Amino acid sequence: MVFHLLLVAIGGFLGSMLRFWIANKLNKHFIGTWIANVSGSILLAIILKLFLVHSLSEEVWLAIGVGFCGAYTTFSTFGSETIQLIQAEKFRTATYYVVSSFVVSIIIVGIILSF
Amino acid sequence: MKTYLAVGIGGVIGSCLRYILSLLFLSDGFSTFPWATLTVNLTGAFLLPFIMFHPAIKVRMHPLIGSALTTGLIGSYTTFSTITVEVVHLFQTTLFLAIIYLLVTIFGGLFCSFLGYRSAQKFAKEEM
Repeated sequence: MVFHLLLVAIGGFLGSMLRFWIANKLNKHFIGTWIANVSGSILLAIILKLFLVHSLSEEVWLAIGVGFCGAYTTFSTFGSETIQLIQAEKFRTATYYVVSSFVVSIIIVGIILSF
Repeated sequence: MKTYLAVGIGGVIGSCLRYILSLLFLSDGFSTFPWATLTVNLTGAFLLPFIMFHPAIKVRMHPLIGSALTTGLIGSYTTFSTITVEVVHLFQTTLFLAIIYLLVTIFGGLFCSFLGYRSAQKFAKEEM
């Protein structure tokens, strides 16, 4: 249990810092969140696929899948940014942001997992 | 550099909380309805704007603690990648549950964010 937590913690440490770094590199923070959420979903799908065919250990799954991908991607920032876009009456941007985040990542994850 | 470390430490706490919660829900992988993910995401969606826009918290908190708590802890406590993978997984077994899960996450999440934002603003008005 403690060892498993440690693996999740290491992944979470790196994942959250990478997400912060990407957001800082871009002027518009929500584009950074978009990139993190879509790329993190793709990485998680690849890791899960490898884990399910038993070519990955549980330790790698916990560190990269649960820890890194879990922390690198975020839902709270996504929600908060969408609300801020709506408050600024940028309804079209808000809709594109929500729909494209889910549609793009779900389609790519679907393709990866169906192999 | 200090801010990165603060975000990282917050990320450690947030990720561990999310993992512990998923163990408490005893969801065996991806087979059942993803209650654990839904719980962390909806609670986190409320908490983030609440802390970000709460006037008292904003003023009294050290900026480093603020980054650790918001971008680090709550950002990592909630997750997006797990949602999309769970939706695709549910889609392959029970299409109906996949659609329900996706809609509850999106609309429930946005509602919680809105609620967090409005609750914080209510405090702002009371303080004035």
